[in-house]
Amino acid sequence: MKTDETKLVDRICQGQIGAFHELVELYKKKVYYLAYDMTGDHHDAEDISQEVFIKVFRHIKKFRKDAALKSWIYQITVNTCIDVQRKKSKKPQILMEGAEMDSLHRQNNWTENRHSDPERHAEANMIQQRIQQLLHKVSPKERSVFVMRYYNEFDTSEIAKILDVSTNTIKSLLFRARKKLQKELSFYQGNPQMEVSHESM
Amino acid sequence: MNRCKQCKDLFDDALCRELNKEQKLFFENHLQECPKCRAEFKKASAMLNFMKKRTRKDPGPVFWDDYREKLQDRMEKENLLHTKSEKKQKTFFQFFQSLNFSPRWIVQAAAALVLVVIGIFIGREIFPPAKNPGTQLEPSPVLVSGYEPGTKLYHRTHNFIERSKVILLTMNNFDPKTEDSYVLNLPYQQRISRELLRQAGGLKSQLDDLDQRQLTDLISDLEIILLQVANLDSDSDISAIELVKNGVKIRGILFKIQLTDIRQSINKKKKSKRI
Repeated sequence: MKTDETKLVDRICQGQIGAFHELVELYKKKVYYLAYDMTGDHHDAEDISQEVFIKVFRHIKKFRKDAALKSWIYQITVNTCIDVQRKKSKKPQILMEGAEMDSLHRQNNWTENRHSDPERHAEANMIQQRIQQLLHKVSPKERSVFVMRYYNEFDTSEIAKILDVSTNTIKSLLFRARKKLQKELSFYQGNPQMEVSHESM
Repeated sequence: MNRCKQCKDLFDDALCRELNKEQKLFFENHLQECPKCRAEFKKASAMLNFMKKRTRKDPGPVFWDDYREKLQDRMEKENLLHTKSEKKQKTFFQFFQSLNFSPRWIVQAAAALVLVVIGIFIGREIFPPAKNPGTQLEPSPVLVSGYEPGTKLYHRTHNFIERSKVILLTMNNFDPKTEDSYVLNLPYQQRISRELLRQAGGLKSQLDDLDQRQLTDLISDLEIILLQVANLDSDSDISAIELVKNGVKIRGILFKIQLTDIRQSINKKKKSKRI
């Protein structure tokens, strides 16, 4: 018995462009947000997500139908993000400065309505910038695992499938990412925003 | 120590609230007992609480509405979406690929055979076999009836037209301003004309019986001109020669002769092919 996804893949393989559009509609938000979590930039996320769908279209015939389509698409997304960031890192640039900073400011303007208080608004913006900076303190692989686990709520076995590694490797990557971020955030200790509640268990 | 390691292994699940009852009990008990693990979990939890303050901006409905269109534009730029003709070519190629012949040598033998047949056909068309004079199949004119290449009537008609044409051309090419009339050798032309006039009647009646209307008309036209030539008074009768030339011109006789020649050569070719 063929699943809906397998049928969709079959139709794309037969050259039905409509089926490919269906796939884009199904995954465009998921792919865009994962790319956005990885890069922190709207334009990069848009560019990467389109690149992902082009790769899917090009290589759909190579897709093993016993594997999960979702995992395969996320795998392409993560790899494309890592490639793009590797290329970007070769070019000299200062993170979160200049145009990129402005872009983030603009992107975070949606919170404006929530905070009528300008001080709180400024603080919220600063937090967003700081988080983005912190995410770039960990390696691309650690970042991909971190965002998939804590921002997209994938379980470790799912991430292991996507990255084609063992669950232990994922746990180890998560541990390393958490350690690095904790170290970077150590100056926040004592800040009420950082206080832990036992509800989090 | 072993319990601390066990506890740390559960950090991730605890942070994501994915501990089962048993794990949760062990985890909470251990944190109460072990200040080191408690402090460490507190740090991890605080870090995650802070990191989860991260917000995502929804690019808005316009972005999502235009998304597919932008993607399609990019795919077209990268030549991923084929034109219809390219698709057809691909399908045609795929069709041959899908014909999975086996064993392979059958296909190869068939292809070789097809090539040999094509080779023979081309060879015959370009280099036709030389005719052996001993076995020539051209029929005797006497044995064949009707008007077609090889018949007696055909030869006589052809001969009549050719001879008339020579007379007409002689008269037509004569220029009284630059040439003397003796070059025409008019008595000779008149004698031949009379001879041809004698043949004309018989030919016309035979061709008329065979429904060769165009040839009958042509011979009638030639008869008029030949009659004019035969009745010329003397070499110096330039106005009479001009009258003959005008008659040839007005009736378009040379043109009609040319057409007849073309028709005859076509018929000849057709017949030789049939043989």
